[in-house]
Amino acid sequence: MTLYATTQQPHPLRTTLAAALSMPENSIRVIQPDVGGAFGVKTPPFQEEILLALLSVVTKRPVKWVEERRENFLAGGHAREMVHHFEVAFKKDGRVIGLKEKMIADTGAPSPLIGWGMAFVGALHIPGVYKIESVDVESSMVVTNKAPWNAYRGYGKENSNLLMERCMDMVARKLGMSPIDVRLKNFVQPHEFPFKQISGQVLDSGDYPTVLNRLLQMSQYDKLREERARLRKQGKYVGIGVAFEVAPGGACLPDSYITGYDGTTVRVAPTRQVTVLTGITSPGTGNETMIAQVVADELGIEIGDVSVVQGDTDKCPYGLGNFSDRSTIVGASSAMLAARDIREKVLKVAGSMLEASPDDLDVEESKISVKGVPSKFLKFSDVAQAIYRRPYDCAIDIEPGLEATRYFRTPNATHIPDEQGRISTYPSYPNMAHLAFVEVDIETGEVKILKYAAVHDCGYIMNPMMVEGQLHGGIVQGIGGALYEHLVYDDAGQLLTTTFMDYPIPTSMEVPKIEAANHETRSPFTPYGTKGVGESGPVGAPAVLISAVEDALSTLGVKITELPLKPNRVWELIKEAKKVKVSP
Amino acid sequence: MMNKPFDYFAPKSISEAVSLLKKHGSGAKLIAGGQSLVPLMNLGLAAPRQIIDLTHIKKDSLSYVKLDKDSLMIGSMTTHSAVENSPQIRRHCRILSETAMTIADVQVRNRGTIGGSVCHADPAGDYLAPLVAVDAEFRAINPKRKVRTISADKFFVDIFTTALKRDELLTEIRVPKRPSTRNGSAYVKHKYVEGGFAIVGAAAVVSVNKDGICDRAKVVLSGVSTRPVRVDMIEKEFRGENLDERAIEEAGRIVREAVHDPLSDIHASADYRREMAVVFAKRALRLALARSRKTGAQHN
Repeated sequence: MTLYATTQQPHPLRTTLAAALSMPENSIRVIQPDVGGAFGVKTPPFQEEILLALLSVVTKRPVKWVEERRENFLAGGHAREMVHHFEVAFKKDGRVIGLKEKMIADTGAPSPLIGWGMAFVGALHIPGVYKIESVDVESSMVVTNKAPWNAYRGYGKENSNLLMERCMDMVARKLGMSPIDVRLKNFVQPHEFPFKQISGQVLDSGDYPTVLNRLLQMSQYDKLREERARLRKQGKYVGIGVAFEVAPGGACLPDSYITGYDGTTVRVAPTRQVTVLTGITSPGTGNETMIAQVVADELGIEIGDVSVVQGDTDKCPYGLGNFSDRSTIVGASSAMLAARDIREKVLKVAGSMLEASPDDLDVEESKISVKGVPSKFLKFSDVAQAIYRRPYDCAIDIEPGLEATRYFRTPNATHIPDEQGRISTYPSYPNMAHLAFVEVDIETGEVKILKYAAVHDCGYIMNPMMVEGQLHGGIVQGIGGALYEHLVYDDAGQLLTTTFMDYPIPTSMEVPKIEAANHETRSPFTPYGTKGVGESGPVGAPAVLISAVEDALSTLGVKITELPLKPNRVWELIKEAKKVKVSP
Repeated sequence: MMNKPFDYFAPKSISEAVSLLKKHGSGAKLIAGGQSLVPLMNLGLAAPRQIIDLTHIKKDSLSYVKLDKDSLMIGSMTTHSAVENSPQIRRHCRILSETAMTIADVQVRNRGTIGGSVCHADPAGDYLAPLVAVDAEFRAINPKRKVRTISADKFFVDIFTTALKRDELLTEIRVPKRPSTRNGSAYVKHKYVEGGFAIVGAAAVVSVNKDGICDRAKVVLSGVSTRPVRVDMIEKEFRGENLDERAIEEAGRIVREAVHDPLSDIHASADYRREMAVVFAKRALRLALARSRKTGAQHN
């Protein structure tokens, strides 16, 4: 049986199908064609996938099902509805010394989708990038008759991030300090990595003060403050927000298929073309290009000679697909390991053909040459052919064949509880500083973003253009969540937002030009020093927009305690604040 | 997904189309660009038994923009894009081009038609307010080839309801031509994202005399009520007045009183809609007024 599925995890889906249908796993093939619009939602197996497979088995005919947009809104999974009650203790110099937080998540109906974990992961990432000696978190999940939660980009970390950034802003306001200084006072410092957070999570690497300071330079923060003063004199309601984001990646959850390894096969044909079969899948982010880059660079061959195969359980090594930034963390690393095995074999055989030690050889532009003697070389294809054709002479010292499969496991997660019962489930901590400059239309409550800037740290950058694309997309998704997106139910529990007309998402007209830059702090736990970038943006954008809108309305004393900031809601806040102002 | 089957007809002429309408009665539905009907069918909110497709009727018999001495005539099958880009409409009824430009997105504007949109009569429909504001007339034909003219103000009866009879087909929208100077109009729309529904759409039409004194000032609002809200007081109060900022504030007050029982939905509460009607009426008036005062230029 073959199932074509818009999934992020073809192999685990096959495993689930085998169990659910009592079929041998090797009689099932799952193929994931090109997928878009996943964002985590397509990670778990869906009931429909199992039902379709069953229908096909029973009827012995192909069965096809296409989900409608309305069905997706109704039952594809929701996220993020959460209430936070918190108290912060701090010193006069701005240092936060204690945090007490009670969070309640409305996780909807119980389901096999994996959304409920977002409440747990959110709690786990308090206090984020800040050092707080004493933290008390109580996380509750409430089951209701709404749609069940499902994984969604950010996976709960946007909630903890929002909480921490609100804390920093509130402390700054209470003390009359700059929100920048309060953050700088509380950051985990660059020399403290790897840093074991109070929650047990271990932050791998980072330089938060530099990332924040670079943002202030890049966005000309001081000039922007002058601009704000100038516009305010003209009667405009403008505000600046600054927020920090940490979007932990590479999830390794205990005893699950959401964990920290993946595998890659590198297969070289005698005529030199390379096929790479990988267990990670692409949700449309272009990670197949990144995998091809890794293999081409490690082997010293042209990228055009590398083709990457993903999303087919009959072809690729068992892998966990795509979620939680993992393609640069485990995908690239396992491809590197397999490519290095191939390189070692090629150099060994080339060495015997060129009568040189493998250590004295260079591989570049599909040629293997003796260091310092560029005229003495073999083509990569000459060596590949020799390995296949001459197993009894020049290739006698190696195992025949030119194919390697290797798995990589992130070394810095721990599932054995420490003395306080804590485990560490995220190996990678990409982070970003956000700045937004907004204008609020005081008559309508509309928020217009005049400027948006961000500096990101995803460690070593493998493909700058794709990183930039991820940042833009992630930030826009965050803007959507902060300003527009809201799943609305009526009192009878009917979902009222089942089209994109009723559930607005930002278009290019609402989104300003985003200035994004990078600051590299390499992870010591991945071979290339990579971290992730896939979840960066939506985690921090809500915090920076609340901050900017509150600043814009600061003369009215507006305090924002909920999202999204739809015009109607902002208008109400303005009206309430004006009422309070008039009758003190 | 459309899960109710229907019969499909593709008449080649207007008379064939209205005969089909008469024959099949209330279960039949005309389709033009399909940009309102098809989404409703997909959502299961409409399930016509017969679909009568008007796109096979000879193109220039329902899709055109013409001028005579007094009027601008727009065929009911003229697309939003054509309304947006027609030089005649831009010259003689700029507010309609301006309105067409704000409808949904390019794909919708390329397929959707002005006739389809007004016959759908969605209270948030963009054309409603401006067509009432410019005193448009709607011409409909029945199977006996009898032509009836309905004023825009009478045409929009209620939510998704027009004054058309079951066997009538809207053929043309006529807009009276106005002198090209000292007239200004504007359509201003409050929406959350580009292409979104109008929370409020405000159309203002202003004429001033050579001393800048108001001859005519009219505001019509869509999106706030089940049918366009025509703020008559403004027409009466401002004749012979100098429309200064104080007068515009006064207009806002009149609008606030004129909006009874505003619509309330997930996007906007009734209170918010009423207040936005005021805000956008004033914005439309200011813009129309500024345009009317640009002497020499054609900004009606």
